[in-house]
Amino acid sequence: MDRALIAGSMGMMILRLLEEKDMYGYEMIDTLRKRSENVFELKAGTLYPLLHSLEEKRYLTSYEEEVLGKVRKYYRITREGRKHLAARKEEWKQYSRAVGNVLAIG
Amino acid sequence: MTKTEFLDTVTAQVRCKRVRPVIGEELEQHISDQAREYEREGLEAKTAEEKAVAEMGDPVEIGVELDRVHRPRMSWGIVALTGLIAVAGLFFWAVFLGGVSAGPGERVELLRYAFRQHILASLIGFPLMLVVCLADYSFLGKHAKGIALVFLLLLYGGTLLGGRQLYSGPVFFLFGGVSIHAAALIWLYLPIFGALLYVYRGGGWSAVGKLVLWGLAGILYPRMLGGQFSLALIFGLALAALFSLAVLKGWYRIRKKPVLGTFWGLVLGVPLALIVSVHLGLLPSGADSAYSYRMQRLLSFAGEGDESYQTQMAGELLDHSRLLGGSPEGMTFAVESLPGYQTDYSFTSLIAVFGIFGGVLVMTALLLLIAGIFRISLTQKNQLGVTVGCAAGLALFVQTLESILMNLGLFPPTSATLPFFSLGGTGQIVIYLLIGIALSVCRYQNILREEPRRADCGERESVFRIRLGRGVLTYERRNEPRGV
Repeated sequence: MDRALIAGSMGMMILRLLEEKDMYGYEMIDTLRKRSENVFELKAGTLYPLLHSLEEKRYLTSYEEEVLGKVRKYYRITREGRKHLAARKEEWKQYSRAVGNVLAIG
Repeated sequence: MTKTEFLDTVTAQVRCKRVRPVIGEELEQHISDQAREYEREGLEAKTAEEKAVAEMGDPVEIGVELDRVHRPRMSWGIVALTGLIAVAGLFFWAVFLGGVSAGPGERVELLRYAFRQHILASLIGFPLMLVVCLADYSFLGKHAKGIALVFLLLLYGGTLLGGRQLYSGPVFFLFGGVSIHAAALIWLYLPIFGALLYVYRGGGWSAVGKLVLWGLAGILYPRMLGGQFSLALIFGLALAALFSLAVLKGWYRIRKKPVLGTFWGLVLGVPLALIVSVHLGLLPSGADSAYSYRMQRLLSFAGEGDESYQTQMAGELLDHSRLLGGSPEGMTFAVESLPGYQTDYSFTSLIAVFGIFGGVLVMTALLLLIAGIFRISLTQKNQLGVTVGCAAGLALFVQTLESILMNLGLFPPTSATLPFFSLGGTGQIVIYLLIGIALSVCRYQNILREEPRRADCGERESVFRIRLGRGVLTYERRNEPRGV
């Protein structure tokens, strides 16, 4: 599968997860795994560069917080991130509708 | 591969050394979380860690990807725009000099000397800007109080011991053959004040009180130079704007709206009340000569009494300026009849050379540069960068604004500097230094790490707080993440 497409859809899923609450990296992988019934096995090696670049694009911000004696780096979605997610969702809907329509023929 | 080997390999790919520990800690945290999970599933500690590391993927690939994100960013747009405007300034004065070379010999000679100084300052300032940009501005935040103290001591001490007033005009420091324009240096205090705002974050009223004192220490300097009232005024406005920004960001434990309302009520209300009462003839012109002089200026500005000579001359020159292209008569007129045409009234001179359209175009470029600096600074994640960068933008903005307004007769005639266009040595170099600081803020935006947030400044709300000797016991409630 095309790398850009993977990064794009992964970015969308991460933003979607963070829409609900702030999370740290491991938590995201864990949640995604459970929610997609093990279909999306997001590798940590893909996740962190992606998180850092989403942060650079200002879709996310991060902060460190001490939880049970461990400093965790939490990510939070920004206003721009929400806007971006809404736009991607719309694109995704159009795309899947189009694929669905084509597959429905015959 | 062990955890340490893995982390070392990843961070070795990231060229910027400052960001390495941040990345290392985050990945290490992840690996230990994963390893604990495997241990819970029944694996032995060592095997669990190895498996967790293997799960991460190729360390070189991850490192290279992270390196791409975390490299220093050079804001070439700002650098290019600065260069362009600087060249426009030099070109402007070269044309002006060419236009008036036949004029009165002594004044043209003085202008030629000032222009040479200006060229020299640009040649020093531009590379200096790039050097400052490469320096990591976060040291300002680490040693803000010390830097502020040393700066003020040097400024006040230097003025007391080594300040020389030239021809009853501005004060200069003389070092060997170099003369430094004292008043221009005060603008460097603005980014330092930006760092002070950051340092006192999380404090309450006592922090705000200290900040006001730090601010006053800066505002009083122009007074020491012998009543540079307008400089104190615009510098004070810039300080006030910067302070408001920090208050708006919720850096202090005070109620934002009433505080800012009262603050700006005082900042704007007092001068306004003064002008209005002068206008209505409620205030007598005092016996003190400095006071009386200021009253005269205010009176003339309020429409009572005579317009100042300079305002008249600048007005006349602007009235006769062309829409397109310069007018050699205008340039000669400036040299002969407009005192300060090369500094305070450089905007008027600019229009005499480039025409109204050209002048507006050049000013648009300058305002775009300032807007660019604000855009970089306000979108910073690193909070120190926000105030320090905005300080640089504000310093340029209030000077430009004052200069344009005064040239158009909308601000009392006084001394004003139009960045890049008013001839000067120190003022020019200070402007390059300020832009350099803004560039540094941009450069390190994806590299510098914000300190773990404190309870007072984040989303958490402290419910109660008990002071026990030196320690503070705080009970906090975490608020839900704020929605849009």
